Amino acid sequence: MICLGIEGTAHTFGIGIANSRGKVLANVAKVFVPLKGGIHPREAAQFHAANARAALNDALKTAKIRLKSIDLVAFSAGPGLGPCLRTAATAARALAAWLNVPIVGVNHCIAHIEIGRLTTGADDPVTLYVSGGNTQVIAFDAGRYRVFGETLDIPVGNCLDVFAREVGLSHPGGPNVERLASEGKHYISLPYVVKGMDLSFSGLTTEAVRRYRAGEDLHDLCYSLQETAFAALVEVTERAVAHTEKKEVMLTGGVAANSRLREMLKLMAEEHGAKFYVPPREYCQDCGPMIAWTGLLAYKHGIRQKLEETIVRQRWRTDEVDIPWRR
Amino acid sequence: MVKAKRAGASIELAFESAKVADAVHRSLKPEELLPESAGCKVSITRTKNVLCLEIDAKDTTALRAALNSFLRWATVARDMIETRRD
Amino acid sequence: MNKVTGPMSLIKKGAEANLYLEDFSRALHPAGAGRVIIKHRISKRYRVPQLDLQLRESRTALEAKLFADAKAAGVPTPAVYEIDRAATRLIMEYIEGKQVKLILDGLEPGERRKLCRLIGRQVARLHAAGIVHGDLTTSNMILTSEGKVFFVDFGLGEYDSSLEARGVDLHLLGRALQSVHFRIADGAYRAVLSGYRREFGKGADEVVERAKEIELRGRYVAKEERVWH
Repeated sequence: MICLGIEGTAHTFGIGIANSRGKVLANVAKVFVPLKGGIHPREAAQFHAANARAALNDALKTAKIRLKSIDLVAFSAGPGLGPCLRTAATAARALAAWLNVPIVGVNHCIAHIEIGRLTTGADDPVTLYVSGGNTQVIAFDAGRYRVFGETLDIPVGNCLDVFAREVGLSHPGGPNVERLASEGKHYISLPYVVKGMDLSFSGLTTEAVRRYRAGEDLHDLCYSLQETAFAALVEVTERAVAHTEKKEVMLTGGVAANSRLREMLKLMAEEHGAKFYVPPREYCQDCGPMIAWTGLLAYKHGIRQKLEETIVRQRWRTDEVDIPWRR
Repeated sequence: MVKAKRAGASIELAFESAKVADAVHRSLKPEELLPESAGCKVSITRTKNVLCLEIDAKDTTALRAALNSFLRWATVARDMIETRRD
Repeated sequence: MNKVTGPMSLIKKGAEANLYLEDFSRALHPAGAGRVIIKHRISKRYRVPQLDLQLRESRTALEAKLFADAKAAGVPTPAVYEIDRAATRLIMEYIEGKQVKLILDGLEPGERRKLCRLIGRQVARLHAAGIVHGDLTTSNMILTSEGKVFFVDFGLGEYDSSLEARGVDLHLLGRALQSVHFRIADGAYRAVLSGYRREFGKGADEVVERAKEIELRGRYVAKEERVWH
């Protein structure tokens, strides 16, 4: 069975093609880069619509298949930005209606975990999923992916991006902060907020920007911002590992590219005798194959949706989704 | 600035075949239920190869938003099925 | 009699801290008798040393303050004998008694209701004093021979008077009962809530309602289970 998956929750419009043996046949991503400031949902959706046709053509060419070979269409039904979600959903519906094949809506966060499990071989990890739009610590328990901890305000990727923008670093913010951080020496104390199992980054962002304006060294600030934010992420992940006694830790999402965060999580995992996994970079980012693969898992395990019921869910929670493919 | 009490538009989109129009129609249908903003009603009907989009909005701003969205979706739907690859 | 034990023995290895049982005479003063608990917050290799020390120091101090304020609010807690900020450890009273986790199921129903109501009252006292416990499980509660219930771990405690924090606290206790005492959990939680309502008074219903809401949201999962021997 061959599934075409469409990802379109935020910046990325991605088309992936995968088969039911877990082989990825194509991974095409068109990434919207705002000229200035943050992402504007309608502008991103317009970008997705304008690039959909080219993305589809590229994907079919890479996979060396015809449109008719598609047996199943999957799409990111949430969580994400409304206009982007609705554009991706409409594209998916059009394909499913045209080809007269089934369609399934997939939860974006769960798709990150599933493509991670597929590509790393991790079986049952505690997952730290960190990106510009999401920050969650997730582990499987009793039929669902449970959220053990999450941000109470902004995602950690957004914290890094906003800081980068405010101090005049160019896009993409995260990698630029990381580059400067590697030259930081002096740790500047910044607000560290872990509330129970949850995290908060908005106070940290504001304070880091304030310290920059007060004349602190930018290298030291980047270094301290990373150390503070990441320590909080690792601590909450560690609590989930201690609680669940799972023996695997996985890091995914756009911020997974950060080598300092990887190093910290690896140290923590070692202390708990757990193995540490990070999917290949293209599968940490938002991508079509993660949707295609999760769509295949869902469909093979009996999940069916009528075309007219494929309505997007902007705030679809990770722990609302039944996971029949894991028991 | 002049703001009309209500604003409406009726748009016809012709496709190359009834089959294409049907697929586009079915892909847009679920979006009817979730209008872009409150105070905006959209209905989509099909006659052979022609889709008829009727929008009734509370003002021109809402009308323009709904128009943009639905035209964007109609385009993306057509783009997905119409590309001649085979 | 002052029993002579071996050197400091590790009784619990947690995500954040280790607990040791030690003779009072060895830990504090040669003239002292009995035993003490030493709670040591451990260093994390993944954190920069400065942040690591700062967190362990402030949390050690915070927990000692929470113990004291909880006691002042009428909730039995172990006496803190020594706060060693630099070594990030607390030396505190060893509470002689039975872990509620181990005895709750076996109690006669009337006794159990009484105990659960008492627990509920104590949680209400904490909340009224602006404290949330953060980790209410029956393994953190010790029942003494005089019938007092000691709350012995405030490692995840905070000063927070928000409805949400209080709701989470109650909800976590409900979750803990469900997972460890599933056979009697519903009755036990009802008794907890009845004690909570009586003690907290006006506004209690709001907290109970929020706890229910949080459960429906399905997000808060019980935290690390701590065992107190």
